[in-house]
Amino acid sequence: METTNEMENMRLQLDVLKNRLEKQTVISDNMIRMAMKDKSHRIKLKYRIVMIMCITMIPYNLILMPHIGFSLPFGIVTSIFMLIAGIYTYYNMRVLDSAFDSGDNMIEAGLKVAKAKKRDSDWLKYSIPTVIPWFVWFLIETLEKDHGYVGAIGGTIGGLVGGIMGMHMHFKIQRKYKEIIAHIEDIKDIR
Amino acid sequence: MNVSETEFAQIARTHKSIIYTVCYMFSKNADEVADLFQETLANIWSGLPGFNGQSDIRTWIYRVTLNTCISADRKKRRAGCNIHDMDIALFEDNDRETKQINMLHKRISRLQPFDRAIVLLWLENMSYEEIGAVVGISTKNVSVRLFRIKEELKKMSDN
Repeated sequence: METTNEMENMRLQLDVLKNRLEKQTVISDNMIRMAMKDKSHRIKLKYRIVMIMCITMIPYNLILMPHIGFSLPFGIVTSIFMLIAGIYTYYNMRVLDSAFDSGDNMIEAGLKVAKAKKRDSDWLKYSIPTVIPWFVWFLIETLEKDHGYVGAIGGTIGGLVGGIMGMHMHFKIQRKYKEIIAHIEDIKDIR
Repeated sequence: MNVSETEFAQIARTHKSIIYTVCYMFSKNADEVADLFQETLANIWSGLPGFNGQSDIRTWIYRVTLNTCISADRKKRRAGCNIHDMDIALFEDNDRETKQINMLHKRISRLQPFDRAIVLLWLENMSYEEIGAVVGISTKNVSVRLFRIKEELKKMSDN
């Protein structure tokens, strides 16, 4: 057989293969997971920061706060709050992680991400009612000290800045969750 | 080039036959195709931010796919789960079309990996310049290699 004919034959065979492949679906669960994992990494990074901050604050509250004039019960309550916040964040990170395990289908993964998003959102329902009386307690303890008004003003400014930053981070995380869920819906529609 | 997951899925769908064809030609069985296909998609996803859009995306996808296939570490096998949804059994089916495809696979797989890449691009009607750009050799080198490959293929069919 002539070489040219041989090559032309191969071209035809390749066309047969490509025509067959064109009819196939290529969207894979793992491919989607891989892409979404990248987005969930950003949420997890923020969760890690929160966890590190919570853990670091516990010895500070228990050991250093009594030294600067706060009562031990105040330090203990603050530490407990930090511990709960850390555990809550860790648990939510686990839920998010499990959404991208290869065992579940995309519907399951979508449900898990939605669950993690709701949990993340629910945190505000528990934390805000806890933080308000805590802050009042903080102000009372601060004002009892000499020149306490300076500490109270500083604490209020610090609390406001921290609160704004926390809310900003919270809404950013919620947006990322929304993007992942929207993407899962998108892919389910494509499929 | 920053793309969203949906855009990535679109790119993968548009170029799936290119990717699959190359992976198929570099594999001995369905599992190997699935491995390479998966790895190529991962490389395309991770490489997309670095793709500046100056060259044709099809050429770039060829380059990534061929690089993945040529340098794939065959020792690293994924845990046996079904990764892709391409419901195609090119190594098992026995109809007339599959026989033709298998004949092509048989010929191409007897070539050296680098030559396999060149012949695949040539079969895709790419110019020598484009082939050279994908595999990273000069146009002249492409023409010399293709001449040798054609001779080799001729010998195969004579035998």
